[in-house]
Amino acid sequence: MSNEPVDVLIIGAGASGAAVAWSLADTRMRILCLEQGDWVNPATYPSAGPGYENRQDFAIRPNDRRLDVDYPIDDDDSPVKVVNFNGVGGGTILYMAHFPRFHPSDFRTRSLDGVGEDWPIDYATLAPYFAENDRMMGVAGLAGDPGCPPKEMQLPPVPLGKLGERIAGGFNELGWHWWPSESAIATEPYDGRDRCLNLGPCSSGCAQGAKASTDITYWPHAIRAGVELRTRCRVREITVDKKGMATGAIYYDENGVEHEQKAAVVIVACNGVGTPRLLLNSVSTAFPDGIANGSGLVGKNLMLHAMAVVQGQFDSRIDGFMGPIGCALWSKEFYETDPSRKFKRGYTMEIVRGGGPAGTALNGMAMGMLPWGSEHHTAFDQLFDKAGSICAVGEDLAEEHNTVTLDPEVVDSNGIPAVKIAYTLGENSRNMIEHAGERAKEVFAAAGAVATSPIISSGVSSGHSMGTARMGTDPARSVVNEWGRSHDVKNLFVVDSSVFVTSAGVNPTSTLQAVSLYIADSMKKRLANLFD
Amino acid sequence: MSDILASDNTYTESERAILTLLCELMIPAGNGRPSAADPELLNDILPRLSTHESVLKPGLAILATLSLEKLAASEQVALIHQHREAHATFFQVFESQVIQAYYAHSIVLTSLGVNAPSPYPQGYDVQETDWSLLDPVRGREPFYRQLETEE
Repeated sequence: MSNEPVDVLIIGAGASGAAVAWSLADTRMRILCLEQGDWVNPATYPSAGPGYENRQDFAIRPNDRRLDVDYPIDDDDSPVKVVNFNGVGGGTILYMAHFPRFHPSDFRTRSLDGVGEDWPIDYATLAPYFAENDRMMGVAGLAGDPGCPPKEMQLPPVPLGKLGERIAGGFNELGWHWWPSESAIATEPYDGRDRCLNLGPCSSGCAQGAKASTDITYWPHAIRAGVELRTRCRVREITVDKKGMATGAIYYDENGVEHEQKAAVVIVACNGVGTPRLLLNSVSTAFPDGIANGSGLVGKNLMLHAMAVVQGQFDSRIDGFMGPIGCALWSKEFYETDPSRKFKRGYTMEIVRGGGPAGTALNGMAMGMLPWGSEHHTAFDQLFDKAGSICAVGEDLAEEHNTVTLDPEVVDSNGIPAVKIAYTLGENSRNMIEHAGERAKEVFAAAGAVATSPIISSGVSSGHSMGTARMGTDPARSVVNEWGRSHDVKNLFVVDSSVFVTSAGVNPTSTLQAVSLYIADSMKKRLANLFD
Repeated sequence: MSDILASDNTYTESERAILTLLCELMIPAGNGRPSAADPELLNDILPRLSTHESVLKPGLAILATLSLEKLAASEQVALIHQHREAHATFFQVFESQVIQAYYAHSIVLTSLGVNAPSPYPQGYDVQETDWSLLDPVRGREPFYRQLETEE
């Protein structure tokens, strides 16, 4: 393995790392990406084999997977549990491919609503990068949504199915907005990927390869353009010289052998938990509190989203286990701030299709709805394929006490300190969750559901980690500047959702990739004086 | 086959008899689906249970003292219900493993109209959407918050 110096070292091969690698490739610089996980073979995805609902090695939570490539995350002190995936493609391997963009107002929450902070960039700045990212990922949807800014779609929308049509009818009955979700799913062949087969469990990987994970979207293009991607390489720390400039990174290979990789530019793309972990682990004489942490804000302002989930039960089968589990329709009815409500900002309601047989039975048993004995099958038939959920994804306001910190006691398989999450839902979020849950119940009632679950907001999982290395123009109030460069280290960049200033009320992948492309373009425009 | 042999080695004959009885009590045959104690199903269930030997063996020892086999079926279920709370860990592990094996078996999946053993490669045909459902929404003016600088 050659460790010759490179021009650009990217750490992390997930949603943002792939996008920045592809974008920078046309500079002809020597670019290397180090990824702690492996390539994933789609033939090994759970949906391609027996027991597909219960494969622990594809569990969404790293604490359940417990693979060597994962790092422990102590999230006991958080009502929202952290989800990620460590491998080429990162979180896009297990995400549901729900692909909304942030709204224009999400970048101006302080000016508009007096909460959070304004971003140093706006929707208009990101618009061309949203479009470019959509073309690379392939987005299915329907143009003309009155709840969002106009945009082009590459592919026809994911079918609603019986479940989606029932719930859409409920929204119509109430006179509320709904629209088919924008989904990073190839509903027709697209860029070498075959069409979606409606397998169902997108959240354990797409065996068909229709879901746009970056291992099959950006990475093949980036590698063909000359980027080197090295897997099973876990970075321990970013190194610096006496002038406080980054010099590269120290990493461990698959066999635990330590390497030093020199680089002229270092780009961190490890998500809202992994990025602060790496920055805080990169301690030196110049940066005793962690690199790029002059503001003291690395790891602070963690946002995971305020989520409310309500399950609805129907009296007939609704094909709920067929089709992309997280992509059917959304509602923006309650997205923007309404002064009459007890909270600022808002949320998107998203439909989640039903689970498979094992998931239904496990859930039914846990809820005391699936008895032993002669009534077992009849009870199961009343549950299976008759349920769907509404998940409200609500804007979580940044609060400094919500943090990612290093765990003083727990380390990963290479001995690198792991992380602790300390996170509470603020009053605004709690009020939003209550509002969203009640509205979800109204939708189900209008759609003819025979029963609804209580509002579930604690113990839910989120792969939406944001805000822990926020961008801004004030070095005292932000970690990176308005184009992703560390205020403290002029050849160190952060390109993932850590740089988010607000969380919006939507899934973050589309926006974080647009931000990544924007930062890459900003770097390319400044190559001659990148470190000034 | 190796998995089955492994499970046979994990539990004694009397322990296997109790596990089989519990499977039958939990999920008997019905609604066109087999009992969890059907040999075909047990072939998948017992290997899963063998990986939780340390949790299950102590519970099996307690259940062995109840002489379940000498009771009528209704009495057996009643007695199990009495012990479910006192031995919650045993029953949580047992039920979880039985469900994961039973509802992943091709016989059961096929009876439920689910592709077996997995969704791929067949996939599913989801009915075409009638997009006239959107007509009430299509008539609505844009309502996202438009900012002056971005219109």
